[in-house]
Order: sequence, then C-alpha cells, then structure tokens
Amino acid sequence: MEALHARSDRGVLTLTLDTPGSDVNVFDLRAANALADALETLDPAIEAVVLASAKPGSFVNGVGLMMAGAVKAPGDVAQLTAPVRRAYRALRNARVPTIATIAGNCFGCGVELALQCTHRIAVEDGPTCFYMTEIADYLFVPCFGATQDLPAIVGLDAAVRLLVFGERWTARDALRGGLVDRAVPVRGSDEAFAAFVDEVRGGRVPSRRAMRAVGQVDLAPVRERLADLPEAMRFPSEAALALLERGARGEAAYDDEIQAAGETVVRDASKAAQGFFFVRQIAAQRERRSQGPRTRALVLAGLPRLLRQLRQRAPADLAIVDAPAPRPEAHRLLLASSSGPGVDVVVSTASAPPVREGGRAVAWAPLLGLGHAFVEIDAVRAPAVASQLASALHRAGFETAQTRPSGAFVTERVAGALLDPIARFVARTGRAADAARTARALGFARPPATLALALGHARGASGEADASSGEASPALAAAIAATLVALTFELLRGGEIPHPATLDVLARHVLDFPLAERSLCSFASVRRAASLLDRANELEPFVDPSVLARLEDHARGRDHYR
Amino acid sequence: MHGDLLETSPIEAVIDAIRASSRLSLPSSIEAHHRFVDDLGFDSLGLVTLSVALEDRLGAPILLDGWIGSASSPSALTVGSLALWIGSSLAEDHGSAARAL
Repeated sequence: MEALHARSDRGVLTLTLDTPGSDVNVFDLRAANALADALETLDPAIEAVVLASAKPGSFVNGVGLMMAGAVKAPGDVAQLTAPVRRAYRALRNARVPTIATIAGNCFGCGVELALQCTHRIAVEDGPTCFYMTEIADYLFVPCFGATQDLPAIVGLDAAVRLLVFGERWTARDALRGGLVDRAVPVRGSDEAFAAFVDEVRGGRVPSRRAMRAVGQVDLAPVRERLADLPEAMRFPSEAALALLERGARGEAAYDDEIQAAGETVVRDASKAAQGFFFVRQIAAQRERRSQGPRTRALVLAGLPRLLRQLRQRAPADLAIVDAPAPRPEAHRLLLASSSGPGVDVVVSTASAPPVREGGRAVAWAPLLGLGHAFVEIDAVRAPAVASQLASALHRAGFETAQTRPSGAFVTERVAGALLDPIARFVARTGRAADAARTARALGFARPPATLALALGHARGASGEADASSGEASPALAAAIAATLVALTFELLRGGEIPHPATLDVLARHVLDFPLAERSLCSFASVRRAASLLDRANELEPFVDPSVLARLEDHARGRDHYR
Repeated sequence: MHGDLLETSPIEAVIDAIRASSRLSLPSSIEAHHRFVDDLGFDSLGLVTLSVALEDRLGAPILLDGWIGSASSPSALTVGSLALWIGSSLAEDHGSAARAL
C-alpha cells in the first residue's frame, strides 16, 4: 500500500495522500519520500500539481509525534526532520503552480504543507478545521516554516492567533483570514476544485505568497497576555512570537525556527504535553468503541449556542434541524437514527447542569462559551442513547465523556476540586490575589475565576484577582493538588468514569489542566498522594476532611497508568 | 478480557496486540527485532490503537510516550524494545505496590 497515489490527467498531476492502515493522514517519512520523489521527477508535460487526500475528514492530521519524541538534543531536529523538509522544499520549489485541496482536518504540519503550495482551496461545510497544534497541544515551536510563512500569507496578527493562541479556523475563517484562496460547498466540490485548478493554470489567481500580507500590529497586548501564562506555556509562546515578528519582516529565519523547535521540544513540559496525545486518542477510541446506531439528524430546540457550533462542524450526512422550542428552558434534543425512531435527550449549555428526568440521557456542555466543544453525557439512565449521542457529537467534531456519576455531574466535581480549596483559602486569609497566583504557579493558564463564572460557582469567583500582584501559597498549592488527587482516585475507583483517559480529557476541558503535567491521572500518582500526606497539617485547613482519607487509600494503591 | 500479567509474557502480549490492532499486512512471524515504523508500518495513531490492545491484554491502561521517548529515532522502536519497556514498567509497578504494603 502506498502513502501517496499519483494520477496524471491533461497536464495536471494529482498527488493524493493516503496513509496506509489509518483513518487519517499522517505525513510520515513514507509520505515525505514519496512526495519529494514525485515532485523532483516532474514530467515536463505537467502544468499544475494538485495535493489531495483520500481520507474523508482528514487532509493531514500531523507528522507523527514519534519524530518529536525521538529528539534528545536541540540539534537532533534538523536531522530527524530532513526527509519531511526535503518534501516541503520540493513542493515550494516546484516549477508549476501547486494547489492544496483541503477537506477535513488540517493540523500542524498539514497547515505548513498547504502553505508550501502556491494556492489553497477548502471545503467549507463538514469537519474542515485549520489548527496549529504545536504550541497549543505540545508546547514546542513548529519546524516546517509556520513562523515564517504564516505572517507572510495571513499577516502577523492572524499568525499570532493561529500559532501562539491555537485558534481553530473553519474554512470560512481561513478564507476571511487569507489562509485559503477559496472556500466551496461540499456538494459539487470536485467540480469546484477542477474549475479552480483551471483558473490557476490560466494565471487568473494571484499567489498570496507573492502578495505578502502587510500591516502594523500592536503586539503589546499579546506580550501582556503571554506574561500572564505559566512558564511552561510562556517559553514556547514567546519563542514563536519572536520568530513570527521576524517572519513578518521577511527575514526568512527558517534555520532559527528549527533551532527554536529543538530548544522547546526537549523541555520536560513539552515531553509531558506530547504524552497527552496518547491520553486524548485513547479516550477517543474508547468513546468510539461504544457507538450506537448511526444518527441521521440532530433536532435541537432552545440551544442556539450548541446549534451554531454544530452547524459549523457537522458533516454533510448529519442533518442539523432547528425545531421550535417547546419551552426555552427545555433543552430538548432529538436524535433521529437510521435504524429506529428518534430518541430524545436533555442537553444543557447553561452554567447550571440540566435536571435529570425519566429514562432520558442527560448531557451538559457548560464550557462552549469558553471555546470548549466538549460534552459530558450522563450515561446512567440510558447508556445506549448516551452512546448514540456521543457518536453523533463526535462526527460533528465534539469531544465527549460518557460518565456514570453517582451524584453531581463529574464536570461540576472536577471544577470544584480546584475551586473549593481556593474558596476556603480566600475565606480564611482574604488573599484572593495569592490564590490566583498559586493556580498560575501550578500551571493553570485559565484563571479559576473564569471557570467559576462559567459554572456559576459563586464561592470560587472570590478567586478573581490580579495574579501578578499576589504571591503563590505552597499550602494552597498542596491543598489543590490533594483535592484533585483524592477526587481522581474516588471517581476511578467508583467506576463513575470508566477510564482514566476519559477523566483526563474532561479535566483538560474543564480545568484547562496543565499540559506540562501530562494529565490529571498522571499527576494523581501514588507517589504524589504519599508526599501530600506528609504535608497533611499544612494543607488541612483548605480541604474537605474526607480528602486526607482518600489520599491514604490511594497511597496504598497503584498508579492510574502504567 | 483482562489477561493476567503472570500468565502472559510482555513479548507475547505485544505480538498479540500488534496482530489485533494493525490493519496492514504483517510478516507471518513477528520477531523482537521488527521495527514498528519501518517494518510493521505503524504511525503514532497506530501506536494508540496498539496501546488500547495492550491494555486489554495487560489489564491496565498503558501510555507509550515513555517508550517512544526512550528511543533515539522512530526506527529504533522495535517489538523487543517495547516488550522490555513494558516488563520494566510492570516490575516498577509491582515494586511500588509491594513497598506500600
């Protein structure tokens, strides 16, 4: 099986990425070598090259983290990535126009691959999403040209938002931002792609690279925002920003980008963040395993925010229907399945969890407003319906956690594990700025007050204060850690969360749990439980009395991951 | 089904999990020297599927980033190196459980 299929037709060479044995494309060494070989031996009769994907829903999902994992010293990056960079160079230096046709996920080095082309066209409905994963997910600077090419093509302001702050762009966002030249509907996209290729061949579409984005950008607010981040995130973000500025000035600092990639990828924080890739993917596989019958339509009532998100993301074969709300607070959602009658579930996107009633599945997505397309589905009452809902939401690009909570939603309890110690600390000491500073020192980038507000957690909101004016409290840090470790143990032992990876994904969305710790369940180790018990006197004023007993249980047990 | 660690050797579990998780055509006999990327066609997502299959056989969730980070290049990730890595992480795990008791 080949990683790249080549087809030549009337002067157009179409190179289709098709990673063997995988649902998505990974631009690994096989694909890199095949692409470089094809472009370096281009037939003189070829007048344009089209880069396409054979995978529904994926243009390129990544280059494979194994390469990043293998970097031991900063200098290793150049050698390990040489074949991929050879392929990118061959694309960029091709003597004919090159056109990336993008439908589905275009992540990280996939964006960089598309940027090597002279032109880009994307499908605007369905799961097309542009996302620079390197800093947002893995805390390292990319190494295939993004810091230099993005500012040239989309301008410095948009480049900062994409790369440093990890904005996810739809095809329409990409069109507005200049990342693609066209966005076309999925229906008739093949014809639209062909027509676009003809236009490009006819010289009627200027190359954005040649146009070069310009404009003054005030970076002071960006620098302020970066100064507020935990150190693990600030380091790669500031390195990337410095390179983006040089890219905007046209310095072509590609070698320095490789150097910065090396310096960031070997840090402990980045290595830990790379580990979260496995956690997230294992959780996704576990969630998909329990799929119910394929859902044809989601009928939503009274959920404008969810509806908007779903409309942007849903694939073409999943109908999203806006039904009149029976009553605004009903939050009723109907799953129309192809194998039976529709079933109805209760969903809430409000800060208060939905009320559980009857035999319905109940789901809660309170963090959509904070940009987290994440839904907790309480599967206790109707597991089959919960699976069906999860499957439909997955297809629309959402992440889900199917839980079996014995009481409150797990989302609420996980948030409480961070917010309760903070509330106790502020109530006792009155030092809200110190509480905010402590959370940042622990690696939490999102201020706890923002989470408290999103969940209507009144007491936790007292943590709202300027972190930079405070001083971190070791006792509060230990109290937060103890509460999180104890809750992790309790949720997993009680089977309220079926798998550690599911809890980790939930904690990542709900708490913005620090990537530099790899994950909540890795953080909640037996060793940590034991060392926190040694500090019981210090942290005891800021935790619920039951926390210490659970730590003792966990200290006698096993780690959640091997 | 969760296998018992004492009944399944790491190398057997790894080979069994490779067969269960790969959609590619594999060598008729998988050996310790086989390289995951070059010989067996695995990428990082393939390794996720492998880790889920390993979990089913070893009875505990396992993350493979530590093993990947232990290699000098993706080509150094072999069937044997994974079995060794699993063996040593399980031994460490038993050690810490024993200490706790």
